[in-house]
Amino acid sequence: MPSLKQRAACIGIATSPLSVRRDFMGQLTNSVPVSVRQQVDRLGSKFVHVNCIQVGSDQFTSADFVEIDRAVARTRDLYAAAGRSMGVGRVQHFVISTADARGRDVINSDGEAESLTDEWTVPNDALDLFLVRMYVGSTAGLSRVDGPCDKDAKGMDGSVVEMNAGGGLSDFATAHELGHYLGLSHRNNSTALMNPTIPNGGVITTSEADNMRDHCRMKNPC
Amino acid sequence: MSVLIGSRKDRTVSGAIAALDGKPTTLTTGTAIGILVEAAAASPGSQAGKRATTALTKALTGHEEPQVRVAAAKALGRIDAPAAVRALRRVADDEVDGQLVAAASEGLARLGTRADTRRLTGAADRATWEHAVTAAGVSTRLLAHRLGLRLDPADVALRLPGEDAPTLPVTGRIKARIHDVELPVPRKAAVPDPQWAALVPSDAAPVGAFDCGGRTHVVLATGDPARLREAPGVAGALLGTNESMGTTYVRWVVLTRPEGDGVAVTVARPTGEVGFVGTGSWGDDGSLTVTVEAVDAPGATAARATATLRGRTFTIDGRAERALTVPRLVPAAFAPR
Repeated sequence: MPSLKQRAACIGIATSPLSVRRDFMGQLTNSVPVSVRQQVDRLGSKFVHVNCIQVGSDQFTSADFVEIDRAVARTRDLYAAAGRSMGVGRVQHFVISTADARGRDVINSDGEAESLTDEWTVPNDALDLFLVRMYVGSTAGLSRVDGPCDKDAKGMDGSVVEMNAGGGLSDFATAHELGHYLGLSHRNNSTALMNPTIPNGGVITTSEADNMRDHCRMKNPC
Repeated sequence: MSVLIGSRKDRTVSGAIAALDGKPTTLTTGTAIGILVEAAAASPGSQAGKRATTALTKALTGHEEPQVRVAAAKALGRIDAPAAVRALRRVADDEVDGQLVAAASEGLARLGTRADTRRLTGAADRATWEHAVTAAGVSTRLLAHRLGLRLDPADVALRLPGEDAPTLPVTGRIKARIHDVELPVPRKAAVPDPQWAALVPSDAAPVGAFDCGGRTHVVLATGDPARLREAPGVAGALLGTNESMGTTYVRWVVLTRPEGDGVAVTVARPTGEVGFVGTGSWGDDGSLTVTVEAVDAPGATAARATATLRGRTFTIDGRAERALTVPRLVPAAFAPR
């Protein structure tokens, strides 16, 4: 049975000192129940690292932090329950202040979401997930389908998701948009995670999971 | 690709108003504002449109969440109705919150009249937050192009962010050709998104598309380029596509102003950040040929392209580096409060 420290080292987290909840699980609060044992097991499947980037970070509240934690936990659960299991590995948190965001903390069009990812990135091997508190319009996120892994490549190199504290929808939206980036398109089936309406059944089929597992952002099992 | 939020029952003007009032619904606040603005923009004079505009005005002035007030200001900037314009003008005249001033300025660039240039200049002078100063200046400039108002090219307050940055020479070993491609969406679907439609000439139509390093741009061009000889204007826009929703959105607007015998060209995001600058010249047959180069900005790629618009025919040729020339900005690591 692999140890926590082995798994932490495998996903590139310093093991000394190691905060299990913050570093290994990537949680910002103590509010969302998580299972360390389960996460250790899940890293035995293919997984993707994620950078959670708060845009307009000084306006994020403790309720938003809980929502982010819930989104990460839900995405892990949905990906683990996929037709072929996957994981979310290292989750690290970053911030863009309201001043530095220059108006992009309130996204008013898909073009602005794209601009955000054009201008910012975390130079590591994780998928950039830009979290905004307000995405005006009938949609609540934007991502490329089958996004690139080279962060020096042109074009949208991350996903943008509205983090609506208390709305209880950001978790599905996060899993959905990351699903796009990892290669999935929309489906009409109402139980599918990739159904464009949120919330949905959250199901990822085996063939979808195979598609995601083949994405260049996916890491081999620990 | 995107996700849709909310049940069909809640995706109504009443549902959106309830959500903004804090009542439990399946809508997020951003979605609620989106529903209201769509209703009001589509039919500002209808009962539903008036209710939606009133709700947005109320959110602009009274909502407890600063970002909801900002989102309401941005939304009102899409509603071509006197009540919406009045609300934006009040913010530009009196508001001290820089984020609101910036959002209202954006709206006035789309809806304002000649008289609003003075108002926006005043807002830029009064604002203390750097982004608000920039946004008010950008909006003045965009408004001038939209309405064809004469500009003083030397006025630093009217320069767009990055417009005076050095251009990036294409020197990388691996280059991509910038070339014409088929339209990636049906012609009818190639339209500016409602957020920025007012910045694009109403007679603009799709004239082609081109690929630049794997990214496709749909080109909308004015049907009357000759007017660009006389005054600042908007020659057209470059659109991106959201394949799953079948929609397009404004990625860049192409601004021109007369310079010598030709035009100075600035290709900017609709929020004002400049991506490319160059010059254009007129052909004997009325065609317009422009050459632009990328400017130094975070996430920019060196590129140089020459495009010609002849009637409704568009051609382009150029080179770009395959990878980014200027690194993107890097967010700071999160530090628990």
